[in-house]
Amino acid sequence: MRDRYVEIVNLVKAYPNPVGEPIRVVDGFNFSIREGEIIGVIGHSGCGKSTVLTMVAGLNDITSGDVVVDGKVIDGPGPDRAVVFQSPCLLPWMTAFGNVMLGVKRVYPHATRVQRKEIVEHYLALVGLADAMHKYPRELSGGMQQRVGIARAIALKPKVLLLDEPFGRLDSLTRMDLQDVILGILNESKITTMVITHDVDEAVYMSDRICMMTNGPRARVGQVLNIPFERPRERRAVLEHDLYYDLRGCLVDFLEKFDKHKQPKAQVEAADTEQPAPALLDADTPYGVPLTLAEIGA
Amino acid sequence: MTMTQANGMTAAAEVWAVDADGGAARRIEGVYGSCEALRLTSDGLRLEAGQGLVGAVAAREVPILLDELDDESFERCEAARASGVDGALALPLFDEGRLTHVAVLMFRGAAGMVGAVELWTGRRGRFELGLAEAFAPGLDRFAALSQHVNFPMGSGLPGLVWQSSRPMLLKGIGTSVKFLRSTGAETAGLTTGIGYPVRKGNELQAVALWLSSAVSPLLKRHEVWLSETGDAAGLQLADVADEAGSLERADGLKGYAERAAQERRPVVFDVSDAQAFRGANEIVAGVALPVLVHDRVTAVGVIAW
Repeated sequence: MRDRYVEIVNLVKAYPNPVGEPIRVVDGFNFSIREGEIIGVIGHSGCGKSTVLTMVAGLNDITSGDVVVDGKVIDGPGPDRAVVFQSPCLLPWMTAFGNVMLGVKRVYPHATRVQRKEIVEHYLALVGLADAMHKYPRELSGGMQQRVGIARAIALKPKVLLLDEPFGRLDSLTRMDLQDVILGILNESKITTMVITHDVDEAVYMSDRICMMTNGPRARVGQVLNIPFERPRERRAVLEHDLYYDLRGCLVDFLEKFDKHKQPKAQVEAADTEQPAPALLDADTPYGVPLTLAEIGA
Repeated sequence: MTMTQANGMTAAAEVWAVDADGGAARRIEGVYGSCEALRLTSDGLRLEAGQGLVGAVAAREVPILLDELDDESFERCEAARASGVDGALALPLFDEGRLTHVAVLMFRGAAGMVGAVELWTGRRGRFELGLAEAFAPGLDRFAALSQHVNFPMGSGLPGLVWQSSRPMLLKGIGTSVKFLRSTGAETAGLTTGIGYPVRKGNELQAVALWLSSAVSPLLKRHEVWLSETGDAAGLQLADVADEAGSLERADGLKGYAERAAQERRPVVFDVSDAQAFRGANEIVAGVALPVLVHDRVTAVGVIAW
């Protein structure tokens, strides 16, 4: 497992502003992800979480900075990064099978028709739709439609799975069910995953680490929380873990500190100040190997 | 009303000079307060590279925090235990890239004491500082969570010290928006946070934090001095926290900051006999820790207890 499988370096997204300087929605976002790691991204509405995710997906132009996946700087979208949005956006004239087959044809161009069929059936079965694969979207519930979206994404065998609030429109029982479906798949496939969520419990349950974003504009990483629970996870064991409520509390505290409605004026001003250049730690901890930490501009 | 323990958590401090060839270190000064056993065993002490705590710092050129003492890691373990010392922090000082001195601070951790000394460092390929070591008596829950928290540059006290590359002081950390573990700090009764950057030339090796409580203060006064001119003459008081309330003059410890800047090394001081420092919660000793960036002294943090 490579430590820096995904590297997001000094990522900036700025939009033109007719009356002044461009508005930097995301400014100096730095993060690295280990291969196979599941990263939760949490922050207030409008802080720029989805902007970061869509830039990693290649669906949104990067103003400056780099996204590196498996050693290659990304340049636009590609099948190495699959995205699942809040709404699965299925083609209504195709069955669940047909929707998944669309991506499979692109990723397995040399496979036989039978092989492709087996691949599609495998992934639909994986998300629990073995008995509904020939149904049309209108015949499927919201949760089932999202399962098709998940199957469509993982059937691409992506290097990185990007989930943008994938359970945001689902009821809590369906949400928990789908969390387990995704975790079950990721436990087997070890796909490096970034999942955006507003739900602190979901973040703690699903993630290996949680990236907490500051408020936009000029959003960046504010704090990172390691989730020490072993995989595979069992929901009850996670909820009963001694640290569960402290970890949860840490997320809630952070969100409260950056709550615009409660934010003191000084904090707002501090958030508006220019952010420092990135500093990547490129050597080990000091115990054995001295830490080298380049302070750019120092 | 909060009851303050007669003895705070900080028990003693020393300064060691490292030979030019980096082979050995000798103790050049120390303040021991009531730690008589330590005082008696420390005079004229010299340690080879790799020997004991200071020897380990000299050999590895990194800061080391011990959350418990044993004969291998701390050469005067028996005397330390007899003095009630349970943990120690050794901070290297590099002058133009060469290790010249090591400051050692020793801490008590008796039942009922509450406070934390932490060392934050980086991990390969990450953009954040994580907790490497902690001495945190009375803070089991706070310490357990802290192991899992990481701060990027500019966030939380470690990230702010990293960004500013100077000693930093946060008062009221239980409610401070800048102290991101404030809820845990408030629950635990922590009141003041101090961060000190450990630098080697133009690089940051680590950030050392002192998180002090009213129950058993790690410090009673802290001053941050900054120098725009890069020398002792340019030192200006940037921030001060005085929980002792025993100093009338705002620049009460300036002389020690100036000495640390002039001599380009940590300086310990004993003011237990000085009338100016007397008060209901009097200061007895302290250490002035300079920050050297190449050939410049950019700041001095003064910690007194």
